[in-house]
Amino acid sequence: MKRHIILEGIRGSLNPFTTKYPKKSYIPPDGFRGAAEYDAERCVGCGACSQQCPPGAITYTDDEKERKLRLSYGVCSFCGRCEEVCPWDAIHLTKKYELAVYNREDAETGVDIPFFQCTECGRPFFPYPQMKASLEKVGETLAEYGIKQEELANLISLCPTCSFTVDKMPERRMFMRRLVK
Amino acid sequence: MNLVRWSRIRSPWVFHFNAGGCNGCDIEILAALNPRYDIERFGMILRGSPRHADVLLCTGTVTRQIRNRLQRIYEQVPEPKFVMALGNCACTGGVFQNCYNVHEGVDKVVPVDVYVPGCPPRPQAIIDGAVKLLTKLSKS
Ligand code: SF4
Ligand code: SF4
Repeated sequence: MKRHIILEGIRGSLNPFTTKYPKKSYIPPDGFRGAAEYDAERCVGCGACSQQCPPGAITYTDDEKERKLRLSYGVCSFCGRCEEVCPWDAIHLTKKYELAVYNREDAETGVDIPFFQCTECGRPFFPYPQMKASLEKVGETLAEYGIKQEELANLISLCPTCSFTVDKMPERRMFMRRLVK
Repeated sequence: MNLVRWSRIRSPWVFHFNAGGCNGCDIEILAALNPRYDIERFGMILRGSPRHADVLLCTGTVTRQIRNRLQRIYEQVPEPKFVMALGNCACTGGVFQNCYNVHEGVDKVVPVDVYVPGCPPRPQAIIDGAVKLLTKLSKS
């Protein structure tokens, strides 16, 4: 027999080649694209991730109070597009890969985002964190035009049905005019 | 009786069936079978015939053409039999969801015991699924 085969055999029995996986946990290398997870603190509920997900793994349903974003690991192709498009840096691919489940519905994650209620009719119509974050984002630009943040906040806190009424239109027009310098 | 149960848990022979996948998961199964990951540690030996197997390892979204074959193969596995849906296509249809020619998952055709999501699942994920299946077996 060849010498290197014997050496290989000895080396193999001293230092087993087989991983000890279930006993010893295994962490995938950097750059591994595992299960995506939401950062509930940061997600504003805009739904951009759901629009861009190629296989349609992310869906959202709007009910009375909140927007329910759900990501099904059984559909996700672990491409990382959601992480790429999220404007608020709120979804990330983790290194989690142990996703086996007994029921199809269990392999999912998600967040519930509360809605903002129209100040006039009380109808929930827009994700609350998104409204807050957007206002903060445009604050500086508004200041350039001499508009206070509260003015815009008042204007957008009405649902579409309440804001496009005959008696509200002049006010909206005036506001728009101030934006055109 | 206990001996039968013990041997069942210690030697779940598997039959691998590709029901219309892209081969990604099948390659990962081969990786899980090779000495590096060595799924034979759990007594899982790949068999060439469903009649010798306890576990049906199914990959791929079930295409319309293969549906009857999958059913026939499932019926050929002797009782008690277990099905492992491997990869996203087998779990839910994955990227092929809403295609005209697929059944969107193995569970639409035969009952599934454990789902292993991943596109494809890495060998460790397959081992994890196998361990979860064996845990279920030992509890039942
Ligand atoms: S903030 Fe990011 S994670 Fe939340 S809904 Fe929008 S795109 Fe998705
Ligand atoms: S990783 Fe890709 S497939 Fe998975 S949820 Fe994100 S966008 Fe969708």
